[in-house]
Amino acid sequence: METFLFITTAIVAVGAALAMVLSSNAVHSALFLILNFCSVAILYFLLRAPFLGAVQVTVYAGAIMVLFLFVIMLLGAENAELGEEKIGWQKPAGLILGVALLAEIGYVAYRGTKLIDAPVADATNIGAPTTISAKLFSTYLLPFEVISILLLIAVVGTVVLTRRRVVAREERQS
Amino acid sequence: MAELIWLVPLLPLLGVVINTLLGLNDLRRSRANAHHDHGHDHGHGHADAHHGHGDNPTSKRSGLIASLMVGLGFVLTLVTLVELLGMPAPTTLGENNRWFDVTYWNWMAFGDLKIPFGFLIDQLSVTMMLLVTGVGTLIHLYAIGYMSHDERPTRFFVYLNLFIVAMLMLVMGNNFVMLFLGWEGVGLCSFLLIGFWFEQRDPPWASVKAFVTNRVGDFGLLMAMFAIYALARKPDGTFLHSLIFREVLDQGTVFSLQQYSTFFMGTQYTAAGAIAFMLLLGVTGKSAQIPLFVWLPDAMAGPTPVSALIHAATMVTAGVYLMIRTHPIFELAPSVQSTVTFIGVATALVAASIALGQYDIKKVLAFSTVSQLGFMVAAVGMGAYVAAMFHLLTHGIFKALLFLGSGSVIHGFGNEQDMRKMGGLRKKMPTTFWTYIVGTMGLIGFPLISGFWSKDEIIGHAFDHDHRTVGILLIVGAVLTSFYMGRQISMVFFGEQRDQHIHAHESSRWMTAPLIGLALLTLASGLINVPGWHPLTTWLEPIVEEEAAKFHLNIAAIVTILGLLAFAAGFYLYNWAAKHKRIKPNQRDLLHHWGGDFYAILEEKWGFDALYNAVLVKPYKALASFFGKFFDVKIIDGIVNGTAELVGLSGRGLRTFQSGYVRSYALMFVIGVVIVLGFFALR
Amino acid sequence: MNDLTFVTPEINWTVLGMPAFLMIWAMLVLIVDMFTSDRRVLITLSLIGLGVTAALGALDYGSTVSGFSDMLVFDKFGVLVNWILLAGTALTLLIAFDYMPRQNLNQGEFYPLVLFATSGMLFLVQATDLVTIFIGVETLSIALYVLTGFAVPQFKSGEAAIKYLLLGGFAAGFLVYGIALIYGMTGKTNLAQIATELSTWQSTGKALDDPILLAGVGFVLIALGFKVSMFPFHAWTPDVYEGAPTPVTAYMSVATKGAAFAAMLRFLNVAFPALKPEWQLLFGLFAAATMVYGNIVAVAQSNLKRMLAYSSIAHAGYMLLGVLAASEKGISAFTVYLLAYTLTNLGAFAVLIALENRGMPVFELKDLRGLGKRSPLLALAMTVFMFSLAGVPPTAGFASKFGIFRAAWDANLDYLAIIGVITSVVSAFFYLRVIVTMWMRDAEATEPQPTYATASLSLGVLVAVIGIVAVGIAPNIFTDLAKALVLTVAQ
Repeated sequence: METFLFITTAIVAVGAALAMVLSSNAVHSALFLILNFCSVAILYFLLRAPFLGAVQVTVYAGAIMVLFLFVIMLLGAENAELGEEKIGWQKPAGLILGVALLAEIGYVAYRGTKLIDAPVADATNIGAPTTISAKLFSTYLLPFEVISILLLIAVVGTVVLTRRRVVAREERQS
Repeated sequence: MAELIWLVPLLPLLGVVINTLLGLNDLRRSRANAHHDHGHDHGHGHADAHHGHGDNPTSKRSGLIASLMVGLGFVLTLVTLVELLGMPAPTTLGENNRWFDVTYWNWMAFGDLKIPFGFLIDQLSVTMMLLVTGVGTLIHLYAIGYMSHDERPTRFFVYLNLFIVAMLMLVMGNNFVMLFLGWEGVGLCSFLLIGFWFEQRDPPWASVKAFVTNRVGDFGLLMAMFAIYALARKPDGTFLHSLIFREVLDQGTVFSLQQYSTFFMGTQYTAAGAIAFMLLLGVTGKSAQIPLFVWLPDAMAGPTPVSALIHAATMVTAGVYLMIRTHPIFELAPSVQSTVTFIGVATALVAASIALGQYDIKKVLAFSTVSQLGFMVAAVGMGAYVAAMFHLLTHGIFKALLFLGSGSVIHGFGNEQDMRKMGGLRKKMPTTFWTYIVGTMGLIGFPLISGFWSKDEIIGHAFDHDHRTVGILLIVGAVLTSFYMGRQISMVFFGEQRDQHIHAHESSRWMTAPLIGLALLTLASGLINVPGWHPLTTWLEPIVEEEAAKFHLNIAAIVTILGLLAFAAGFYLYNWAAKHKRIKPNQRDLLHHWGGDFYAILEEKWGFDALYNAVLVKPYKALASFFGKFFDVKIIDGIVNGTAELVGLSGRGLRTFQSGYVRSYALMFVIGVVIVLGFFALR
Repeated sequence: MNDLTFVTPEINWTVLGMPAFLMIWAMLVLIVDMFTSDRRVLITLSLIGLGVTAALGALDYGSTVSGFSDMLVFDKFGVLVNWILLAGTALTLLIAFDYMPRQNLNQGEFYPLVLFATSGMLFLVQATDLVTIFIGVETLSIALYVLTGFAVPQFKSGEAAIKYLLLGGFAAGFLVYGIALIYGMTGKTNLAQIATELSTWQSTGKALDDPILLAGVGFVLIALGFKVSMFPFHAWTPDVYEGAPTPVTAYMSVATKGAAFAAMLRFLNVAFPALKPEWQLLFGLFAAATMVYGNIVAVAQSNLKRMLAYSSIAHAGYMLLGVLAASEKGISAFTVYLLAYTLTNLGAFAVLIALENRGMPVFELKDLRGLGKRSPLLALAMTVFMFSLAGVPPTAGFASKFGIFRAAWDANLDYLAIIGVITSVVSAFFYLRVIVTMWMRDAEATEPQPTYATASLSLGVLVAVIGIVAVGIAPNIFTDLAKALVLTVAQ
């Protein structure tokens, strides 16, 4: 059952990712991305990491993607105009490289030894909120705190970049 | 005196500082003046800027300061010489007491490698220092007159003094890195001085050519240094890890270089062979040997005192100095030694033949220099170190004299360098003429004058040590030398002046006095190692461990008679041609009439320049622009529109990177990923 | 649920001091920026912050302390690299001080953003865990994306930022993938623990060259190689360098490289010395390609910023030699090289900044014509920088190149040392072209372009020149510090 569920979900995840890239309609792309996120969330559940799965659904599939859709629709950029391909060899070259990369990854996975077994004893609650929070606020406290700085930088950066544009536009109007 | 030896390079450095400050002060004042009379022509783009204005008083001021500094250095060196002479003379072969090695501070340290900043003062370096400071002083004085009409004499003397500093570092340094510092330093000054008249078309690119060609040679020297560091061992087999001359060239250490071999890029060499070969590459660059000699003739675009000092007397002999300094390594690599001889002989012959096809008075001398350097290199290859050093000294003096003489001619002949326009100048410039004759006698080996002894010592050594072919070929080179000098003397000083528009006049005392001084030195310099007394051999013997050369009357007689005949042939041929109006400006040489295409090859310098251009320069530039265009497609200006909004999702912006560019960058990225993964997965 | 054991982590201020102080100080500057728009206050505050951060490193200099579950380390190597980065940042602020308002970019956020980026770099340099390495890389990257787009109304700046962001995200993906693979194989993220794990593999006879592990190492190196613009992951460099405001370009070209190389050094030498033959071979080839490509393409550039961009690619190749040598000498040579390169490249960009007019879209080589006459001191400084980049003695460029090549030669990477020397011979051509243009060509324009050698910029240039000459004449002063830099292998 577990194996069946895994294979199905994995196929859906990969398919959704491909569809997201190949779709020419931005809204469709975003929706496929949501599908991808959801199937990845199921994979987390299968790995006994319910917290991660839940976060994946609420934060990514929920909040972030909704914001994405909002922006796309506000800008009216549902249909991206694909410019002409200026460098003709690029598409086939990309295709060949992609296939080569895939083949290599497959080969590596085939040749490589099995990944080590996860510590089975903890497997039941490894993804539980309490375990995660305990780790996050003890062993991984430092990375956790530094990430907050990272987010602060991102916020400041966004403000800088957008305010700049507003100022420039106002200058032009006046 | 040993405590004060640092003053020798420091004094010229002081000259650099003083003149720089004075120059900056001048600049500030002239700016203030320019502010007052606006509209005055402030560009100096016209071709003859360096003679455009009247006498420049700063020339005398800066020149005297600079000359004084070098002159004081010369005096200090003389004192050092006396002091070394006062030390006990060696009693047995291989013993040497006459040296001192001073270290001032630890310059660099990388791991276990320590590089001191220190000087090694011994017979060899003092000899070189005497040449550098002695001839240097005379040329500095000469330059006061030569640069008197120039716009920037102060800058000139700053560079010239800086050159002396670097050259002294080169010969005084007690380790390879110090030598390399000087080596690059003289290259840098050479670059600055060749390009000194940058308003003209040729000098800037000639200077770049010189620098880049020299860097190819420097590559060899650098590699040799790494190899010495990595390979040299002490007699007990442990690694030496040092670049200090006295440690590396110690007998036991050097011997280790032959015992051990190294795998270098897949092939096995003895360490000594590999190092000697890389050193040789360095020598071919700096001392203008085949295949890297192409820069020296072009370097004549610089002011003539520069040609005399740097490109005849001192810098270009650095390669010979390097080989004599490291001769223990060369002696362990016989195959490299024969390569050295071969290169020297080939250069001597090729350059001498090219000199036949030149019309520019300085180019003839330039190729003559290349050819004479070939003589020295061949001598080193044969193990005739004293002879090489002897020729280095005599050549340094008489070639400086010839260059300064040619400078005097050019200066007094309205900056014209084409010999076809000259003629009959012996009456207009008597001093220049007579000193030039003395220099020529030195070069062609007129009996009992400098070149006679030194050249003969090289050729004699060849016959003494079973290098018969080398000896014969060098005699051919000497004959060619005599011929082109006869041609030059005739074309410049005899007959009638062919371009009557130019008013020729003798140069000022500042210029003629050093000429006379150098002429006297030329007459006397044969005594440095005259057979029977050979003081130079005795002096250098502890370093090179070489016996005094025998004098061969028969060889000397043959060389001299052939030489004088060739000189007479060249002289009378061109006198005859001049009389029958066969020499005209912009007309090809008489020999072209008879020799046809062969002569054209000489004119074209055996095609070396064209070859390098076609094989190296052009493909390189093509490759660069190919990469530039192929991988680095610039965004078309039409798309780059200043009014465009932030790339964001606006149509135009989107198209910019949708039309491929970020995508192609990502594509390159993926190529890299495929390589990495492929390498790790499929091995 | 089993009972929860919450261990309060020990906060080791020695270890955390440098990055943490700078992060906090950056926030302070950000707050001050809300109340005053006087950029003099901001730069003074920023410089003080940088100085105090440097002093914090000096407090316990020489000791080796590891903290936060060994995720961060305080050691000689880290402090030295951090000092170089701090010096580079200070120079950047000095040369940017008058440039930003001149280009109408007078927003106070510039200073805190630069400080944030630097703090991320300090963090990365001290990181000894794959998790902290990732966070360090991201922290500095996000700040740099914003700084690249700082001149956003200008089309090129925005375009450069987007390009950098997209490709940077791409590279970050590989970083995470690589970390995941390594964790999957070893069960560890700590560099030292990975090494221990691998040594138990060795003792139990398990093959080390497992493709999955190697792929993980390769991916991490790819991502770090992207940051230092190693061929073939360099493609973003010229466009981004050209589009970003010039001081930001200068900053990126030295500081990012320094931090990412330091992380690479730790990653390879602490965690994977056992796989040395593997990565030395493959990335040796990349280093060779980087040196060759950067130097050859630089010849074809007439735009100065692009020329310096390609030159910086080439210099990344040289620094990579020091990293790949994987020896004590290599590490100390790398440190000296970083110092020399930081001073030189910042100086060269400072000269460009002094000449850059508002709204000048491109900066061509011919714009330098006649500079020797217009402002000889600036031209003299540029000459020093160019000679140092070309590696002519007695500049810092020579001493550092010498060290790098010798380290490579000693580590049996002789072919790389040879390629390095040959390419640096080639590079002399285009550096020299700059000098020739400045001194030996007269300006075409009758109206001389103004130069903006303001006080702060001149100070920056002066410091750079003195540093270059000092390191060139007496590199000992610094090499003594950089000597015996052994990377801490905890435990």
